[in-house]
Amino acid sequence: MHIASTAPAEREAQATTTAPGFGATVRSEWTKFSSARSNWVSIAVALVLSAALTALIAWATGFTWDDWNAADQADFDPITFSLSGLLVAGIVFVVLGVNLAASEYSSGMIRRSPCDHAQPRSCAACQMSVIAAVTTVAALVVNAAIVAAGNLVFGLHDMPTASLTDRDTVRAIAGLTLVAFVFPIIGVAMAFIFRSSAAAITAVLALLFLPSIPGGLPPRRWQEDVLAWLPGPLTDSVSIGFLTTDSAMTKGVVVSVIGLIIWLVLFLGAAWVLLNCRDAWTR
Amino acid sequence: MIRAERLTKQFGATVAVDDLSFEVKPGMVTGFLGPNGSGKSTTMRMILGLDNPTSGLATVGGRSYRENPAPIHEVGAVLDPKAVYGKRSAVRHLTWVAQAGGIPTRRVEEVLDLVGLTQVADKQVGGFSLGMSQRLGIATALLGDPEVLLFDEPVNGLDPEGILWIRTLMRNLAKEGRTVFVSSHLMSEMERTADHVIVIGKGKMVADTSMAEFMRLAAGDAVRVVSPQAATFVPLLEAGGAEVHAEEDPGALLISGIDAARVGELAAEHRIVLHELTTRNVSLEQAFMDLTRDSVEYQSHPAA
Repeated sequence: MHIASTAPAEREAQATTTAPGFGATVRSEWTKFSSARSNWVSIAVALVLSAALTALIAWATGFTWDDWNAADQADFDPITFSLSGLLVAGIVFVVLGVNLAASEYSSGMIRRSPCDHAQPRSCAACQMSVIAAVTTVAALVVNAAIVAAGNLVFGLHDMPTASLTDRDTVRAIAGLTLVAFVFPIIGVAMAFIFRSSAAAITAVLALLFLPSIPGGLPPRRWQEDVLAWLPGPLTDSVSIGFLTTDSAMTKGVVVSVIGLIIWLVLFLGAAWVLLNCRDAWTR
Repeated sequence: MIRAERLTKQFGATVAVDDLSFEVKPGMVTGFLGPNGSGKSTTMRMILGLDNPTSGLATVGGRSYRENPAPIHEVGAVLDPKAVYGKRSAVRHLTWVAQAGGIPTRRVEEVLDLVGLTQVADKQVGGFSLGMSQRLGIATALLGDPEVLLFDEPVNGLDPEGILWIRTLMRNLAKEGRTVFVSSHLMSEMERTADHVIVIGKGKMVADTSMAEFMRLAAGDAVRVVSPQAATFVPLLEAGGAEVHAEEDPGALLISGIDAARVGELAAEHRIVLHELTTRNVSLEQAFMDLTRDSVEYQSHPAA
């Protein structure tokens, strides 16, 4: 039985090979992601359910449209009202991000990964790159689909509609697409922090829904000074803040981007520190 | 070469590995033996950079695993064959590992062929038997054609054909000049495979020696004789400097302190009839039990 593909001297030379590089690790993480059929099923489910939920809510809204008073009808914005189904996709994207990292622990592959990456942090960074790319592309499709579905239904009810080519529609879809990676990336970081899908998903969803739980109950100042600085409202401010300028939760685009960067640095920093000091094996 | 220098690992108050120093040399199979909980797997994980030592250093080829820019080319390891994502096919599993290590994907086909998994390359690995999973783990370890290979309990759950295959593989890897470090609880298997043994107990070094020397030491140079004149022979042996214990069998004596040749000479001098004269052979299992008796963490008692 002959095992080697290289002679001993060649193997010795090979042993000093430089690191394979970021690109190689990203390709490897892409292979891991793309070879799991459940990931593609999840994305397809996110697309279908988001569009279906949007259409359903739009249909229900259409039935009450004639009962709306004139002021409410004047305030109706077909873009923001067609985003109701976005929540489903947001949750699925978070689950995708969390599972990408947490499955390393549940399957035991974490014992394999650092073996193939001299620096496991580089592996984590590549996982984040892959999930950011995937969610950005998927979000573009989902965002366009739900806006199209919502406005199709609004049109059937003779309600005001927005075209996919309208300037505000394009800006909203682009904004939502650009921030779509934020929560999945936080999910990856949470998965490395908690080493468990359930704990990480719960933590990210709590963070996502925290501003909605008290709703409009807290004083406006609390909303402006506290809740508006959580990641959810900040992503809304960056993406569709131009449509909701009168909301207490809306901040300027630049400060919102800075706020999001600070949140990401906090979560990624915590994951980075733990990856550095914890044993890969210990749960 | 693998080198551990004063390697220590503590989990809270428990010292899993205690000031362990050893070298694993190339060109031979080195067995890593110890009872359950003796620290074998922890030591292997520290060598692979999966656990951080509390103190001390583990190096492969002169540097710690994490300092190695391309470790897959230098070290291959089979730790837990079931630690794979079950919904992925064997070929896709090997492909991502190869890509991560910057290895051409044609090598995937080579190692699949080598371990005999070509036929099931496109099957999901979750459906693999333990033996197939072991083969996949070995294929993964061999992807980078590494100089150093670590196997943690590689024959667990394998059928005789699989055990023979892995034994031959490890022997051949060592023949090619590679460093092969293998832990196992199956002593009879280690006896057939390893050239050198490192034995630890409760995280501490018990023995670091060649297999032959290990067996010789464990046997304690004991000689067994069976003689119809055992009663006459005992005082003669004791006068010759031997320590003698009577065994249960009629006329059987276990002699230590002098070798078999001297026992034979004494018998000839005094015209003592011998029916048997043998150096006591102990199995590796017995030698291991003798050496690690005080290091077993979970002691069992004979069944009533």
